[in-house]
Amino acid sequence: MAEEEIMKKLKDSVINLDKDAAKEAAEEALKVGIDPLDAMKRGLYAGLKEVCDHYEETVFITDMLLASDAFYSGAEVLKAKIDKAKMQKKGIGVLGVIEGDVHDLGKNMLKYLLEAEGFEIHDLGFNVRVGKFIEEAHRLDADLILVSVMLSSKFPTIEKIVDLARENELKAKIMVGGGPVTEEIAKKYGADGWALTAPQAVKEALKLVEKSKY
Amino acid sequence: MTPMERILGLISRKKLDRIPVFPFVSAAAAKVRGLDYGEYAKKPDVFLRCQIEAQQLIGYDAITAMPDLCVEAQGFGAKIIYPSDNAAYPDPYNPVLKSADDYRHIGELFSWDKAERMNNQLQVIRTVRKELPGLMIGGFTIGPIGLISRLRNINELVRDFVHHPDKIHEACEIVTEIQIEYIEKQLEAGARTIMVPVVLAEREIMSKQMWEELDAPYQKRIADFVSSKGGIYAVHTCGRGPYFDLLIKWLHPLLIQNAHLPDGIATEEEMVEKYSKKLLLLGYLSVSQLAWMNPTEIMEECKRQIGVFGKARSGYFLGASCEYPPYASLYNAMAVVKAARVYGANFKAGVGANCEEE
Ligand code: B12
Repeated sequence: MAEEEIMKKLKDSVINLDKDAAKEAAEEALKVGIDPLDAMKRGLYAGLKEVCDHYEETVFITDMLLASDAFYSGAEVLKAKIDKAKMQKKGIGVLGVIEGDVHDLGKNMLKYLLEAEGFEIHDLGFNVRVGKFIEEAHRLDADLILVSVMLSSKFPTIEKIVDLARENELKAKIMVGGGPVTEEIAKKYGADGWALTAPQAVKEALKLVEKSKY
Repeated sequence: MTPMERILGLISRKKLDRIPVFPFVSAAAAKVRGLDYGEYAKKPDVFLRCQIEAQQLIGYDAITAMPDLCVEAQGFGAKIIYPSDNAAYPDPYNPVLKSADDYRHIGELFSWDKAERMNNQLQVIRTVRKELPGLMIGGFTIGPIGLISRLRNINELVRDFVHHPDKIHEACEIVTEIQIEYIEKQLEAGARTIMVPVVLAEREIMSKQMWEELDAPYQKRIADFVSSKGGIYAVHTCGRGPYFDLLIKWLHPLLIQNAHLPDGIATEEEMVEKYSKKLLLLGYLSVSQLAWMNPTEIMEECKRQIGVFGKARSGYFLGASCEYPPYASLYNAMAVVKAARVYGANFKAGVGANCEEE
């Protein structure tokens, strides 16, 4: 099968939320000698991006989660063969749901999209202590600390993370998001970045990492 | 007017002394006795005392029999965690339904004898009815998929929506019957209203088509049952873009409580224009506002809301779009009631405040 045809198959498998088709197409890509990194980017990721681009109008949580599942099922196959040296990391992020909060659906979605974009994400799970964000960001010399907050009672905890990161002179920029968090709230508690949805968060993360280089 | 007269008066479009208020004080009521929330949520007599005293202190018009959203989950065997400063939730590390194959056995998990929290809720309704007949007390069920979402990891549940809809249907069939029985008991105990959160019918969560296939038929059975028994059926929504059109088409609620603008609606005025002929509105103070504004700001915001929503044709309750944040000061609840007295006096559905007609 021609390369472009397989690329289309990879892309469509994600758009069609079809895990099995993604895996199959990835195996085919390897068989005919397509560069796995290229298959990931131009195939699977292109599909995921298309799903995300429509999130605001016609795509739902259910679709996003299943598109991510399809992406991962193909990516698993390709990853094993990707030359690590060639993989360009966009940045390192520490991600978690704030202390006292167990809502993790949004956090997981963000993780899938950031990883697909090429970030190295360390997922701390939910109900994450303030200190844990800081320790991990320090240990990994992270570029980003991403905090998901679904309970408005936890807004003041954002400030604690921000203060502690500054006290420890971490280079990481702090992004917050999640249902009730508005841009105003993010600013009020001192975060560097905010986004309404996971696809927008990826764009914002890229900008923040870019900025921190200068 | 008594709270009950005010609420029934709003529904029948009579002129009222002031707009009715429902700040949805549930867990926050524990504060009137300075109690730890866990203690309050577990003991029905303590819960009831706090509810009654909070209502008397603050002066709003309806109380709820629901301490949090895990009342039914306990009856199905979920381990409930009671934080000292927030509403209870099921243990996220140990969901009751571990795989999609467990759905069909969901009925075996439940028994009325074990359902201590559901029985407590019934006892609360019975007592209020007997001791405080002038007060409106609302009953509640979390709805079939709402309950399932407390028993299964939510990430897996969303996958099941697509991969195993048949298994979810099987579970919904069983759960709906149990919930209808629960509603019947609440109505018999004296609840006049039954509120059901229908949180999947939202723009952010799932498509209209998926909601109609997955959730709507069971929610409809519940809605029809409440109406057939003469109860007031009310819907609670909380996410962005609730599908008001579908909720009306399938469920015919008398009232919808919402935190965000309905799907396809751009402004608050448009929401009033398009939907207030068909239903009563309840809201629109957000959890964040109640938690983080000061009482003066709350009064201002209430004034603004009475101005916009007061014109709702079928009527409007000033209130919280969701449960009053348990960690927030009760001053804000008092400010809401004060705003109703100051800015919502002589209120009539369709006209608003300062109505001069009789
Ligand atoms: C599912 C759910 C639950 C599940 C959670 C299961 C789980 N593992 O996640 C359960 C049943 C356990 C639960 C429990 C509770 N919940 Co709850 N829950 C919800 C519900 C219905 C959906 C949340 C959700 O998953 N949304 C979908 C995801 C994808 O959206 P999202 O998280 O906003 O994420 C998107 C963006 O915000 C962004 N994003 C997310 N994180 C981040 C991070 C960064 C850095 C960035 C940039 C962007 C970003 O990307 C995502 C995709 O676009 C909402 C109501 C609603 N409709 O929103 C209530 C809601 C969040 N819950 C609420 C409450 C109060 C509770 C409870 C206290 C009890 C209760 N009343 O139910 C407990 C608290 C438990 C605890 N300690 O955390 C309130 C919060 C109110 C508030 N503003 O404070 C809500 C809004 C409902 C309500 N109105 O009462 N809940």
